[in-house]
Amino acid sequence: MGQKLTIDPVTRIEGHARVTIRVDDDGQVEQAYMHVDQFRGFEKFSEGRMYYEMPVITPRICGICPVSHHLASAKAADRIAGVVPPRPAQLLRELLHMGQIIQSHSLHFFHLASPDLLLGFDADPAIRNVVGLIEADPALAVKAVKLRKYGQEIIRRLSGRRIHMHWAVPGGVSAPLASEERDWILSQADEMKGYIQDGIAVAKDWLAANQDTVQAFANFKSNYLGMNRDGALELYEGPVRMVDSNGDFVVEFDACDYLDHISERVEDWSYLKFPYYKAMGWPDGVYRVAPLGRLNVADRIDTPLANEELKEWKALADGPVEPSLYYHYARLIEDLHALERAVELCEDPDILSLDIRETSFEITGEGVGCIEAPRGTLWHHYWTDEDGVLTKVNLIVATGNNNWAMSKSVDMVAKTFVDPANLTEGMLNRVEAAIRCYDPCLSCSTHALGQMPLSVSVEDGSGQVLATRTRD
Amino acid sequence: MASFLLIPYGNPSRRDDGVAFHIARRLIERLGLEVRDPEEVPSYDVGDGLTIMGLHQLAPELAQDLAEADVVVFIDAHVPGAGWDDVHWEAIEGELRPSMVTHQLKPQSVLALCQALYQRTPSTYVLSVLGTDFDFGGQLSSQAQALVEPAVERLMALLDFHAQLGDAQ
Repeated sequence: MGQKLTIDPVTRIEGHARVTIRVDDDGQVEQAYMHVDQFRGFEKFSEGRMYYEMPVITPRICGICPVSHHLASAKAADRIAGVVPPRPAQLLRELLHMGQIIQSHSLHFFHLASPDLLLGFDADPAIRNVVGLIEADPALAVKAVKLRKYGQEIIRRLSGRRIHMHWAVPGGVSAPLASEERDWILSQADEMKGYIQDGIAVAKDWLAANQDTVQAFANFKSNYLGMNRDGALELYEGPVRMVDSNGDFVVEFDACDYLDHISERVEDWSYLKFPYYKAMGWPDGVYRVAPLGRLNVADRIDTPLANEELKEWKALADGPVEPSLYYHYARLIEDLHALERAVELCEDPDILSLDIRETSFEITGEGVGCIEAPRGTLWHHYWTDEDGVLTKVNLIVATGNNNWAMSKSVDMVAKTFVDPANLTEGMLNRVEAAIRCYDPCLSCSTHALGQMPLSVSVEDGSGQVLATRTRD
Repeated sequence: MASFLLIPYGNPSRRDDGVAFHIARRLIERLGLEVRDPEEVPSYDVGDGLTIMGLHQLAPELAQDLAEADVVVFIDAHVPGAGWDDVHWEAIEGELRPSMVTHQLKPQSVLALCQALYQRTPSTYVLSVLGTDFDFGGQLSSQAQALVEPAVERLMALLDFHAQLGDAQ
């Protein structure tokens, strides 16, 4: 009788994920799945609210990337209000977004990815963490914390808050940027740029030295999707482009028209839907988003240092770069771009302008906001009545766009590295590491203490638990 | 006087997950201060060395804030089955384990980071209240609501103890 392994890795009550590894009668991994709960509850929770409340409500979805929800929501609210924010407001919003990219990408690489890379997948969990990293490379660890804090400071100095900001509003933003805050952001930029470049060197060295692992680890073909502006990487505003597994252009569309191009497949083993490109159908239309997806879509980056890195990255493959572990390198290239772009924005003469909000509103009844969140393309879509009361809300969250890719990665890694009869910490860590490449937002809802971060249960075909491994 | 950092954290839109903010606001009232906005995550520089820093989730840079405090209390909710008292109070030490995703950092992990990065360790505690309803919404369950005052008592006792200690010195 076949067995089933379930990895229940995340602590949340809602929005949590599990990995189930189905084992055949011969004791080998037959297939692995990743199951995720989605935020449909949040969508229903929002109905009946006023549209202009959404930029305040939706950051509560996530404590790590609240800015992405805040800005996607504000963009949707702009369209419901029938307004276009003035240029200075657009620049300020983009600067806030760059702060978010810097803090999120830096946190992921230095805090989560680098212990795997520098200390090894099989290292004792007691040392395979950022403290172990501090012991191995204390200077790098300090840089990691400073980078994360820098991104957070950009957010705080713009919006006035660490969390739950009220700053982006329909038609613009509620407060301008003070010159002393602009000067502070610029004063730190060179130091932070060096830190990111140090991280890039770490990532490149590891990837070059571990090509056997890289090529065997969740390396597969897919389409790639991301925002793009005339061939350049775009993180804030622009059309969405898709290329196929050969890197050939497939389609480019206005982000507001996503429903014409993206469908979501429902599988009975996951609450999280599987988006795909409609015209190709399921499963041919599945794609990857976030750093790997965005860089595979981009021909260039319009900031110089990041563009030089992109050239090296593009040279890695004749076509799209496919191994999932390259997400880490791509993430740092985007991190560098975000920092360079933040400097450009701070040096724009309009960045200190007081012309930050358009207040002439006319309710249109519908609005879509799209942004490239750190974890991928994020859509907020609201419908309202004539008074601006929300009647329907649809969110395609960034992690949802990578749902298929994460499950595919888990399946490949489990088949390659997991021996169900002799489970080891290193095997489980590799399955987790496959998910970690995508930096998913699985735990955005609650985080009450006392739940087990990781449990693995072995079940037979009837669901009876045969063995359990737990780690906290 | 020792410097205190209280860190209530949770999701205020997930009922009992946000119980820490109710505790913090009640503490503010007990200290004779005005709660500025009952809808907001409370963050206050109370004075006399007491700071309240409301957060949605814990993150690594918090280590620096810990390094600047003498006493730190993380305030959160816990789920049934955790094996803890309804109002759980525990002194903790630093211990960092690998995180599955970016969104998960325990108080013990932040403390371990503080030790490793700044070679300084505040006296650190976890105050956690049993939650039973983590659905969407801003209201606490009646069970969690009933635990707010006992939790505040625990914090008041800690502050009183250190005040007396300061007086004695």
